Amino acid sequence: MKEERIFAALGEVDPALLARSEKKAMVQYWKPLVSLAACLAVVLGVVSVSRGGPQVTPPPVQTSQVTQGPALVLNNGEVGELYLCQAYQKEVAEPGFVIFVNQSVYGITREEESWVIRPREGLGEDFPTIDMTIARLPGVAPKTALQARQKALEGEYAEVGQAQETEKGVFFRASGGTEWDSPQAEVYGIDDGEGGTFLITARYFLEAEEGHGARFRDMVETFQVVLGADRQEAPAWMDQLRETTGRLMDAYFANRLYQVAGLLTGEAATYSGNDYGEDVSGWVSVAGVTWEVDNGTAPSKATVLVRHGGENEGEYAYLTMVLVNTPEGWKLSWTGLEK
Amino acid sequence: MEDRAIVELYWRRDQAAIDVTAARYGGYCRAIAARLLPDQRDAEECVNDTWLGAWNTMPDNRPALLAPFLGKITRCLAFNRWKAQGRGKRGGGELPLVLEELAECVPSDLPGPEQAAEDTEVEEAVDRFLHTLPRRAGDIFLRRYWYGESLEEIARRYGMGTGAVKSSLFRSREKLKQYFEREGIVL
Repeated sequence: MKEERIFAALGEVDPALLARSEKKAMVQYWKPLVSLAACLAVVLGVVSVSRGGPQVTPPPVQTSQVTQGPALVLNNGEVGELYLCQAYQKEVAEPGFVIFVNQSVYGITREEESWVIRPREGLGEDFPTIDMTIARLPGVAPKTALQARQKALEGEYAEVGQAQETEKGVFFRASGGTEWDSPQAEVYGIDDGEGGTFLITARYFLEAEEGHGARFRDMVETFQVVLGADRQEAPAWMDQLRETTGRLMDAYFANRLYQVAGLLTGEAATYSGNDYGEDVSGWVSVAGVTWEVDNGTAPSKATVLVRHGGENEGEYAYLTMVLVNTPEGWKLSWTGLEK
Repeated sequence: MEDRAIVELYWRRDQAAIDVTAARYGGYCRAIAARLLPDQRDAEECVNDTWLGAWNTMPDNRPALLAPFLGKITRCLAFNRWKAQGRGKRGGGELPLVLEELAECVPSDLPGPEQAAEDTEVEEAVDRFLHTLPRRAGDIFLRRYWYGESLEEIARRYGMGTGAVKSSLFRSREKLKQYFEREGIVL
């Protein structure tokens, strides 16, 4: 039978692909320096950051883009519309986090003790809630936090699933039924590194599973805890590299590389737009950013891999950016796109 | 013990290699066999035969990644055992569903008499194709059609809904069929 030939042929596939499929794709920050937790995040000028460079007028917003809370501060990029949101404060020892949010589609606000990510274009009161809430529960372990959350949701959802261990933390789903507008929830408990939990709750309805549901999942993949000590120990080059990467990503997806010409060198100096040939910032959903440098103490080259989803749910493309460290700072020398 | 050290034991013909392999990779190989063969005794025999297969193929092989190397032996043994069983004895398991789905990848016959491709041609085409898929789609494809994992298992592994897994598999199957046709592969 012909399908049996295909099954048998698959048996000879590259072992590296098999090994790769064993792992869930992880968000890795500063791979060569994983021994330093500090490398996961660096201190930018937290309260007021001026990134400089060309400005792009952001789309009209319904919610505040930058909201300050008592302990943590959100910082958003200014070049494009795809932001790395950093919620932590240099002076405060409490853990914070970073997360990539496509701010042309979603807004993030601080509300009481939580951060809430919502679609900019609301669907109206007739539709169930669509949002993702991030709350920190100090002193509560992820499993305990999830048990309490499961109990709380039992009254709201017909079915509350069992908690499962994932590479990100602990996770469960809850479902309010199988109608198109039945509410659904995905809850993640992520260790904050200091005995507490970041509790993330994504809410949407069944028909939005492959739209907002998938995008929320992508955002969770980029979620990274930032410990207080991390901010003090990170070297300056790392700070600059991450900031430059953020600006380049924004400009790349917006097809406006010409607006960051000062950050381009070598082959990239000839680029004006992106490999898509159009502004895709409206639908790009970043699901992972990996940085690799050639030298952990004095790097001259960095390779950045940006995994991102698009219009077809479940399919990801990979943007590779090669940056070189010049006397004027990090500059983009090449990009490649694997769809 | 690291893979390299285990492989070294095989090359030295040290029988401890089998104990170490069974302890380290028994669960991995058992999971592969159990998904393909509904009868657990058959699956267990395949796993035991895997160690023998590894013993017989090292040397000459020196696999860098032991898990896929062993898994491939288990998978091949399980598939051969499944094929050797009469239709009535095959029972459930994931394999009939996997094959039914893979039937969708079979390319349309070309006009005129065509020679079916050699096994190695098909193997190389499939390998090339998998390298063209985006990482997530390729991983999902392998979890389903190499490992025989259920849609639910894959969804849990990658934190996706089963609908999304199903739709990724559907698209990849379509692409593989088109790839075969483009490459002129006749099965």
